[in-house]
Parts: sequence; structure tokens; C-alpha cells
Amino acid sequence: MSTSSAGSTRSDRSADLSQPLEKLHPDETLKSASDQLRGSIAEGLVDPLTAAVPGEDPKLMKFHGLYLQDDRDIRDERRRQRLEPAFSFMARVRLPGGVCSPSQWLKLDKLARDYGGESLRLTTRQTFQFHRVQKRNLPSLMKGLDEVLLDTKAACGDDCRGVMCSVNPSLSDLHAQVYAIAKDASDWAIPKTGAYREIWFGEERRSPYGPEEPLYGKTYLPRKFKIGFVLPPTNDIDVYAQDLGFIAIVEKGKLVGFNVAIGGGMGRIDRNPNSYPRLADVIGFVEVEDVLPMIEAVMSTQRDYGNRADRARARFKYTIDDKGLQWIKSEIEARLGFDLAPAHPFIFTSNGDVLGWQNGSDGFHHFTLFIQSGRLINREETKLLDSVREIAEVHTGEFRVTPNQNLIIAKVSEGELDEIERLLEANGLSNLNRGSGLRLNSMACVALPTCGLAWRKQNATYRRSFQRLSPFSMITVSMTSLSRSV
Amino acid sequence: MSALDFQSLGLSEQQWSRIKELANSLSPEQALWLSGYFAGMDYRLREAGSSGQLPSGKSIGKGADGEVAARPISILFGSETGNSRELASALASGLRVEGCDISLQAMGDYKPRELKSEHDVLIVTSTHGEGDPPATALDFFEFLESKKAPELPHLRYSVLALGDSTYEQFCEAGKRLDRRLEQLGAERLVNRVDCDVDYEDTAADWIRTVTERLKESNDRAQLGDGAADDISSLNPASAAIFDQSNPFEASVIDNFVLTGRGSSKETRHVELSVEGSGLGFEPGDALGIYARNDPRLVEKILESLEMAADAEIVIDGEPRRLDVALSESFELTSGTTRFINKWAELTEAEELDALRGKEQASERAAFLERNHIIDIVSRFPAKGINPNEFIAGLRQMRPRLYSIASSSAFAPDEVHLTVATVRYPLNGEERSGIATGHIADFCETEAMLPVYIQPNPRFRLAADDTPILMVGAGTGVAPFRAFMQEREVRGTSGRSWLVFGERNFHTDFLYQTEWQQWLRDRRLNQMDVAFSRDQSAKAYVQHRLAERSRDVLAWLEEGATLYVCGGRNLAPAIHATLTQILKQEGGHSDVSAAEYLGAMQSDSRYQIDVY
Repeated sequence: MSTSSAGSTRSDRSADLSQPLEKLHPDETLKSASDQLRGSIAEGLVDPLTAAVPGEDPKLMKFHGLYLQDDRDIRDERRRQRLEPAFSFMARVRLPGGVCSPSQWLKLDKLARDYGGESLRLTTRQTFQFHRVQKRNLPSLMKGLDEVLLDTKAACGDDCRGVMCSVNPSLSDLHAQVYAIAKDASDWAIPKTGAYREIWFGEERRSPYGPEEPLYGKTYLPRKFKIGFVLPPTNDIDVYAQDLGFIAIVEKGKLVGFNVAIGGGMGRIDRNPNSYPRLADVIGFVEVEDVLPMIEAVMSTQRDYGNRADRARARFKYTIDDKGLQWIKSEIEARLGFDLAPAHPFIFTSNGDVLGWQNGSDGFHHFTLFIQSGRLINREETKLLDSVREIAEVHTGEFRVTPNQNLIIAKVSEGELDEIERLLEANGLSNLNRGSGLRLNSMACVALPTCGLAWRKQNATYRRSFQRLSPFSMITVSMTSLSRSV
Repeated sequence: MSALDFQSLGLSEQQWSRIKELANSLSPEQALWLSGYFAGMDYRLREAGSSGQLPSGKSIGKGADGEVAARPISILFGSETGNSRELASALASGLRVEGCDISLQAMGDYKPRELKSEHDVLIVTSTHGEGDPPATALDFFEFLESKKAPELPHLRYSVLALGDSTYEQFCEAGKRLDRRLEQLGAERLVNRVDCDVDYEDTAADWIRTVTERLKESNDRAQLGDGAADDISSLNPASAAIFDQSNPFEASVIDNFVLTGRGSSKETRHVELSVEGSGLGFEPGDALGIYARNDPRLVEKILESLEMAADAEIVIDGEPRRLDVALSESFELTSGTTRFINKWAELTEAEELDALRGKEQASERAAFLERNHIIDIVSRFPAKGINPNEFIAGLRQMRPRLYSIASSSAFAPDEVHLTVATVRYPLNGEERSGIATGHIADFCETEAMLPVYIQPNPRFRLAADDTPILMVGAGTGVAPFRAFMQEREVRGTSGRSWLVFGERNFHTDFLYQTEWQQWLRDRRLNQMDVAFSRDQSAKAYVQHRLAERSRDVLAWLEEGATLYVCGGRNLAPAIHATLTQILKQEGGHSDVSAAEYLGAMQSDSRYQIDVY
């Protein structure tokens, strides 16, 4: 599938950035005309006649990490009632590596209670989503996040999404190093437009020195772009599903650099034979200081050569298959100014989370808490939101969201160990970790019932397959309906 | 041509009524033959230079230059991915080349009531999921498949259905329309064609066939059938006169809750059919409704009084069954002073006796608020009394008036109402208003309601070119829906501005999507909303007017007519706000502001309807 047609399409530039906008997908014109993601979002936010935003602004708002959704359960009912759909927004936080501090947690908790229907959801890309946020509350939510140095920039849209990083409770020293690099990568790849601060915080527009988006230009990327850092032997982030994956290479206990994997992506479009899942190819090794140049080389290659005419073929994996892996690798090396070293050997032995307590190499304790489907809400039997808040009030370490939608109470010192354990026990959280192996290793997209992509099959499929799979226990079942996210 | 055109042709009333009479008696073949006959006569008259009665250049069916004027054709599409839209526009441009008069519209933008006046309708629709129509076409389907859909004996149509044969319900949306139009009496111009995913060739065939068929039939039957259609569809004015003393039994077509889930209110939209009644009304008029008491309440009262349901009583000299009279003729919810007096006499209850007399008015009122008739008769039982004695203390059933929420030009033969159901707890049970409770709980589709028109000459839609500023709180928005419908049908040029208030945006934005559509169509030029319970500081319609005081004054100065409709407290609040605006923005004093508003009122430019 990957190389047969590459020769003939390598020189074909009929669908990429070199073409005039009118030859490309209408979304390219939309991005280009948006004035670097401003559009008319600010005006739409104050329109009191609708809970949505008009025209094409919903597409632009994705670049601000916001999805316009509506409650499909009552869509038809409201149509009869001459009411517009029950619109609300999903807001996805940008949280590199899934790491946040207890004070950030407390703020997220408060914002979820005030504006997000008293629910926080953990995603498989290690971040938080607020659901059912009303338009009129969006500015307050965004300001609230900013107060604890969080934002929702590029959490959706055709750009570099939140950067993932393995959680590795037991390898805590190395985790700290890799996480720091992942954080740098995220900060580097984030859109630089002033639109975010102007729209959400009402700041004055400032004219930048030079172009407002040096990396992205006016039309950003052809499609979403995912970067992830993995620290073997656990492949919890699924590095082969990233557009650009970095595999940490540790020799004699020291981080020496990363193997680079490109072109992963699991999405496909139902019954479209031109779309398919693809595992990333490992193309070589870079040292730590070459990580950012590597990201620039890969993203700019995709920016310049990615398909902008057919969004179903716009992910980087198709660019690689259209141009050929070797050609792409050469292009990347040309942009880097040096050839990649051969990949180092590495081994993955698992991809799930180890639940419960683990001791880190840094002398801290780490507790991984199973969260069913990533939903943090207060239920009759378990007040999950309240319980974690209680922990955040006393905790001095950090929290980590795992790619399996679980939560790690990380860096628990010897001194606070008893108190955290007591809280876990008192609130019944320890019990959550006792279940069948499969249930603990199952994941689900967190967006029902408001996300159109999630709507289709998930619920029924999940329940059915559960019954069939039960005898096996160490498989991680990841259920998503993002079939369009090719 | 329509009935309105006959005068411009110079026909007299008498001539016209004879033509109508003749036309109603003709078979289609006869009409066709006669159209040729008249066309020949037209030619002969012109030849002889004696066409004095006809304005030059006007004739039936043919333009002066003899060129065929085609019947208008509507092309409707329901599209999810854009394929249906593309095919529909291809069809449209092909037919335009043939000289046809084409209107191309998405089903979502089309007013399905207009089907009644269409000649040829061509439909392209895709199917979604398990046989569902495209989302934007849901309203169209719902109307057509409901009881509201009119008979369409004059309509010709054809359907192109797009689908995917791997789904069980292949092309089902198209099939549904095809079936339903046939049921409604429409004539299939060309058989339906179902297309699979590779639809291009099949669709092109259908387009070709439809185009040829239309060309043929246009060439053949150009003359006459239009006129015959229009004449036969005219309704002779009904002879029966219905009014308050002789109400018309209207049937319920639709009755549903407008307010969304979780609302603190239950406001309903009710559609009634007045077909055949001859009831005419203008926007601003009200509908009088005779409601009935809740049968469970009638039963409880009879039980409590130990009276037989079939006991005979006499009203105005006429014998009636007691339960029927209690249901229809008297109000059985809250009592009156007369009832207290009567019941005090009958029971000799001290507590009731103490409430009698002028000085006790406020205590009595408070008592009546807390105790309905059922509460009084159960707390102070009086066994074995004559039913006639009991009803003598009751108040006669009064009709309730509701501002009509529709325009008869927009929705002929229908009356729409916006009704807030009154429900409240009292003495341990839920009670409801007589009329609103009856409408909410006993008026499902096809139920009958006795109604009449209550004209409201003090609340009239201004001339077509006059700007209108409408202020409506809650169900007070009803007449403004009628105004907008009327203005839509009339294609008026006057600007319009609506200020609407309710409790919560999410659930109580009455007719939200209709206002949104009028705003998109620029028929409604400005809309402001005030939702009092969405924020801690209460906001009402008058606050929105005050915020936009400069615009309010500008509209008034330009001669806008101002309408206020809503609860009783609305009028003084708006009046005070207007006075303030005139003082602040217009430099008026209290006296001159009062004069200004007084002059507006006497010019009928400031009209109020509160309840």
C-alpha cells in the first residue's frame, strides 16, 4: 500500500500549498481568510439570539480548542419546539504530557463545577475536556484556565495537537527529563497568533515583528498533526499512531536521544478504500538537542507537501505514501542539514497502566487510579470529582493523566503517603482499581452524547464486544468513533 | 391568473361570477377545449380591432408576442453531502435553457404550505441512515406526512431519490415523498428514479426524461389549464356566521409544548383548523375559546355533593343534564362572593358567614384564593340540596381570549395560538386554569374546541412601508408572529424590530428558529432578547429598550408604529421607559413626553394589548 504509487505522485504538486486557494479544499480559503484564526468569533460570542456561533466560525474555533456540539438526544424534540439545537461547546485543554499541579487541578475542578456541567473528562491524549460549556461562559472559562497558566490553544484544528508523553511512574527521573522535552516541543509547535488573547481576554491587537505565524503561515497545516514521546519499555502513548513519534533511548541509565518514527495514524473513513490506518515507520535517531529542529523539519515538510485538496487524504501518513518514505526522509534531512543516524535498538513490553501504588526511582510514591471511561463526576456511589478535589487540596506533588484515561497521583512524598492513602480509602477510590482485567484496560471516547463523531456506534458496540472478550484480560480496548480522523 | 386579476382585465363582477360558475362545472377536457375556443375568439376580436375591453398586451395564457409563457416549476432538494443540490441545480439550469420559469430551493428553506399553489414540483432528495431524510429536510417531511398537508390534485411531480443500496432502507426518503404526494392526489409526471452511490448516469437519465416530458406538456397544454385550476380552487364564501353566541367547532391539528426540557414554564403551540367556517381574521385579532371543566373535577364535585350526574336542572328555561351543565356552562375552579353567600346560607357555616359583607372584602378575597369551589364544598358539606340551588351560586362559563399567533394569508384555514398553561399546587393537589388546563390535557389532535373570532381593531399591523417596533413578553409575542407571517406573504418593505423577553434562553425562547429564519431573510431587521433568569441581575424587555434608547427614538421619529403585548405589568413599565427615552435622548420634559406618546396613541402608532 505504501510505495506502489509513490513514483508517479512524487512530483505531483496539484494538491499542496503551491496551488492557488481556489484549487484546494474550501477550508484552506477559510483558514487563509480568517486573519490568523480571528474570523468573526468575537462578534459571534456576543450574539444573544443563538447559543452557537454563526457561519464558518465553528471551524475556526477548533483551532482555539473549542468544538461546537449539540445534545443529539433532544435535537429532534427541540426542532419541533421551534428551538435551535441545545448547543454547547466542548473545550479541550492543552496539557503536554498530561501533567498538572494540584493548584491547576483545583482550578480545573472549579471551572468544571461552574461551567462544565460538574464533570471533567480525561482523554486518551492525556488531557482534560470540559463538556456542555455555554457560549456565554466561554470567556470566563478561558480566563480561569489562563490564571493557572493553562490554555486550549490548538487542542483541535489543523495544527500540532497537544504533545503526549509516557507517564512511567517507576522511571520517574527519566520521565522528568522526557516530559521537559515534550513540554518544550508543545510550546514550540503551538500557534503564535494573537487571536487567542484578543478574543478571550479582550487584549488589544499588537502588530508582531515579522509574520504572525512563522511556522504555520496563513493556512496552518493540511490536517491535525500529532506528536508523542515514549519512554520504553511501556508504549502507553502508542508511538506508532503518532504523526511524529520520539522513542527515548536510554543507555547506562542516561537519556542519549530519540529514535524518530513518522507517519502513524489509526483513523480511517468508513467504506473509503483510500483511507486506512497506518503504523509509523522508524526512520533514524536524533540527539536531544536536535528534537526541535526535527519537529520543524517534519512539520514544515507536511505543511508544504500535504494534500490540501482532499481532507480524507490530508494526514501526514498519506503524504508519506504518496511521495515515498525515502523521498520524505531525504526531504527531512535536507531541511535538518544533516543525515539521520541509524535507529538504536529498543523494546516495548507493555502498553497498559499499572494500577495502584508504585515506587519511583526518585524516592516518591505514585498511585494510578482507574477512571471508568475517563469520566470524573460525582455519582451516588462514588463522588469521584469531590474525592480527587480533597486529594488535590493536600497533595504537594503532581497529577498525570495517562493515555489510558487513568489518573496518577504522582510524586507523593513519604510524609504525605498516609494522608493520601487514607483519603483514597475513605472515599472508596481504592475499590475502583478492583475489577476484571478487561474492564480496567478498556477505554472509550468521552464525548457522548454531544459529539457527532462519537455518536455512531460506540455504546452498543462497546457493550457487545465486552461480553465476547471477557475471558482475555490484558488487551487494551480503545473505543473511539473518530472514523473521520484519518 | 388568480381571482384578484379579473378586475385588471376589465371583467365585471357579474362576468367573473359566471365564468367561475362555468369553470366549476367543467371537466378537464372541456376546459382544455374551451381554452382553445377563447384563444381563437381573442384572436378574432383583435383582428377585428374590437378588443377594447382588454388592456393591450394582456391575454390569458399567451403573451402579446405570442411566445409561450411556461408554467412555473419548483425544484426542491434535500441534501446532506451536496450531491442532491448539485443534481437539482443541473436540472434547473437545463430547464432554464428551455425557457422554463424555475425556482430552485432547499427543502429546508421552502415553505411547504406553498405546495398548494404549485403546478410542477421536481424533487431530488438523498436518504440518510435508516431511511431518514436529510437533516435540513426534516420539517418538510414532517409537514407533508402530517395531517396538515393539503390535498394536491393540481400538482404534478417527480422524485429523484439518492441512496446507497448497502443500506436496508434504500432511497427510502425519496420513496416516502413519492408515496405521500400520490396519496395527496398529485399526478406523477415521471416515475421516481432511485440512484445508488454511482448515481451520475441514472440521474442524468431522469433529468433528461423530466425535461422532455415538461417540454411536451407545456407545448400541448399551454393554454387554459392554469385558469381552470385557479378557478376551481376558489372557495365560495361560507354562508354560516360564527360568533361568540354561535361558536365554530374547530378541530385541533397540532398541540405541543414550545418550552424546552427543564423549563420553569409550560407554554404550548396550538394549531386549530377553521376550514369551512368562513371565519376571517386579521393579524392582531384574538380567538375566543369555550373550554370545559376537567371531567375529574366535575366528578369530584358531584360526589362531594352526592348529586346524580344525570339529575335534571333548568337553565334559561331549558332542561339540562347536571354533569353536562357543570362541564360546559359554569366555572368550577375559583369561587365568587355570590358563591360564598349562597354556601353560607345553605350550610350555615360560621366561618363562611364571617366572610360576608363589604368590610370583609379582603379576607374574602384571600379565602377564595386559598379555597376553590371543590375545597369549599368538601370542607363545608351540604347534603341533599337541590342542584339548581348549587348552580345558582356559580359563575357562567366565560370564553377565554388568546391573541392569534398566525396570519390567515400565511396559514389559510388555520388559527395558531401560544398558550401558557397555568398550573399550581393548592391544598395538596395540582390545579390548573380552566381553559389552559383543558387545552393542555384534553386537546390532542382531532379534539374539537368551540371558537370564534374576537376582532381587535386597536391592535393592527401598520401599512406595508411603515417600520414596526414590537415589544412582546412571554406569550405576548404571539401576535408578532402573525405580523411577521403577514409581512412575509405581502413582501412588505417596512422594517421590523422585535424585543422579546422570557425567563431562560435555553428553554423559553418561543419560536426561536422562526425568528432566526426571518432575521436571515432580512424580514426581521433587528431583534433583542431579555431573559430574566439567566443572570443574577434580572433583565426585562424595557431594559433592552433603554439600552438602545437612541435607536428607539430614531425609529419613533421615522414614524414607526410601536406595539406592546404581554402581561398587565408590561404596559406601565414600557410607558415609563419610553418617557425616559424621550427625555434623555429627545430633550423632552415630562409634559412634552406625555404629549408625544399621547399623539402616537391617537395616531394609532402606539398600540397596547395586555392581559
